[in-house]
Amino acid sequence: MDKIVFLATLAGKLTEYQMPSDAIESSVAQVKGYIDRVSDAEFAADPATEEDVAAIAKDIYDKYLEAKQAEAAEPEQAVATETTEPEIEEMPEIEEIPADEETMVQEIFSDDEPPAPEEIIEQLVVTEEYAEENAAVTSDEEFFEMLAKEAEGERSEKARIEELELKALAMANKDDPETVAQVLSQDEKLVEMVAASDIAEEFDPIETAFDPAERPDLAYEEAEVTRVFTTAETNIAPDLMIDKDELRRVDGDAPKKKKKIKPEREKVKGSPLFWTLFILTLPITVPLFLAICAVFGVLYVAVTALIIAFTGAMIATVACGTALALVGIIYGATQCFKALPIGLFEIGVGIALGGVTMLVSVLLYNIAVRFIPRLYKVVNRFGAWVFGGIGKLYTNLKKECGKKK
Amino acid sequence: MKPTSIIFMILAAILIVVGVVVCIVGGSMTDNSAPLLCDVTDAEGNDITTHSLKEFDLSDIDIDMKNVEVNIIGQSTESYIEVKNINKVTYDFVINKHKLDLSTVNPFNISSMVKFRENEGGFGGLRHYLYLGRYKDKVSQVNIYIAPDEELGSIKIRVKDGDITVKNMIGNTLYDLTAVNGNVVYENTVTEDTLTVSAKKGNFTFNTSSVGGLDFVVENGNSKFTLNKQYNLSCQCESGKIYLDDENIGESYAGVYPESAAAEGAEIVVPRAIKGKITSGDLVVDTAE
Repeated sequence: MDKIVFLATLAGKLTEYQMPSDAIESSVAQVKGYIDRVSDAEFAADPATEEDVAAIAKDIYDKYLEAKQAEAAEPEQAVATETTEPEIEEMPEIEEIPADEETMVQEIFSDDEPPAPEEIIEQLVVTEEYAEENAAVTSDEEFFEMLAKEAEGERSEKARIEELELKALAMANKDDPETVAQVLSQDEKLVEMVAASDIAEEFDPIETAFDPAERPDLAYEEAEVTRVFTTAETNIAPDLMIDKDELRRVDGDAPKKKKKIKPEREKVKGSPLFWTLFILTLPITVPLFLAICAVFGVLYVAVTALIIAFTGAMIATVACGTALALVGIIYGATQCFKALPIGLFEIGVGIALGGVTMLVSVLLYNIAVRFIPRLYKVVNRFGAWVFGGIGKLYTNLKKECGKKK
Repeated sequence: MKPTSIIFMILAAILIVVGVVVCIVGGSMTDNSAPLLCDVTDAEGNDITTHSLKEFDLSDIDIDMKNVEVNIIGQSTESYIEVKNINKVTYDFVINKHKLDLSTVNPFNISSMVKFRENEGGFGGLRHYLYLGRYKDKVSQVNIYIAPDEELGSIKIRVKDGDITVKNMIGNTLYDLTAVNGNVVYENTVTEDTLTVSAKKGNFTFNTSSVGGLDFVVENGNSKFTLNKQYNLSCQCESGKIYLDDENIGESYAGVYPESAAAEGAEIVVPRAIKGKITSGDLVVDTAE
């Protein structure tokens, strides 16, 4: 069953439920939007059956009925909110969240008790689904209409405030105390009004019209933040995980780490021919492998010996150099009283020896501690290259043996 | 390399520069009368260091050196040792219990570096290490001048590369002279004790001297004796000839020489013995006029 047949079948099923044609069209359009995300090949790979289509049609019809019931209950709710928040009249109608989902979202983000990370993750999955569903339900036309209304409301509110400001300024120019009092009262009203309409910050009609706990967009954002901080402790899908290094990079101080991406090794099943060859060649391959391992062992030992040798040389240089420099300076100081030129020369030799000692010691230290340990990395890379090559060789051998079968 | 290391390297470079500048200042203050490495520099440019032996009342001298000429000169007005063109850190000079020991040492041997003596030998400063190759092209000498009043019991000299000369010495002194690669000269010296000479590659000259006995071995070189008194010779040349007053008498000789002295003598004196062996070379014996 391809996409066209699927949609036609769905429309037929919905017609059987005696839904109005516009509701059928919008529902089919929604479903089309869903299945368009999937490629034709993928859709054909897992084809939907007649039963699946019937079940989907039933779900759509159930939701349609629920929406009808909610619309019936809406006028009463509108009357109740009109007395406190008149802006709601200007707001576009947003599809009401089903009762069970609403309570669920409230439970997630209530401040009474902080939920356990496992609970949050379970609930997040549901919240995400809800957010996606809600986003899909709201069509583009409704969305643009809502934005236009918001902008219009904002403009009218700003115009009213400007008008009041102009009036207040005009009256403030007069020296009449009554006028001043009137201006002050006008100012107070203005401040109250601005505070009530949240213009002081950023005017958001949705924010004023709805409880934040009922807003799916806020719930989604909060869920995203919660997910970032809980993925490190739980085993969630890897695509949802955020690397700790990426979080540190925001600071800009932490060093940037190169993320190593290990190439996935192709898993090839060994054929009997391969295993026979493998076992028969073991008398050659095992000594060869051991020899390679021994070479790397010798390399590691050589690098370690170099480090020890340079460290020893550094210690010897420091000990001998310091002793000689001190001897030179002290002997020179004593000779200064007998023969000044010889004393000065000896002091000079002592100072220069101290400098040479320091220079050589710093160089030896840096060679031993900073430069030679890099050889370990070189050996590691070489080892990875050699052993990786051996692995590839065996994989290719497996493939070739598989082809011969 | 970390900034700390770079800072220390800069500091080290500054120290080196300061040290070199101080050395240059000290070196510029020296002259020939007060040179940097010795007591005095002569007109030929030889660096000479002297140590007085007057107060030590020497009885024995033991010298073991390499690449040095050693001269023992008697009948001097004063006893002293003169070291010419030898770096101070390359030899050890010590006088202990009336015995003078002079030897060549490895300048980098820690035991020879840390040597503080009561006399003037011993550690002489680090500056000598900067001029280790200074006397490479010059002849190094050790001259020991002995006054007549010194009564030396023995003089033992061993030189690897260099000549040994003993002259004008009078006294009952036992001599043991060994030159590995050099000549041995023994002249105008009188002793009632014996003289032992060993020259591996070099000539031996015995000139107008008197000894209580002589035992010599010359491996590669000639020997020349100028006798001023009668001796009982017992010499052998393995690959050479023996000439007695220009007369070739073959490869070996045993007998008293000069014979004429024995015939004329009113007093019968038992001649002192001279025993020697020359491996490769000739022996020339002359009678002093």
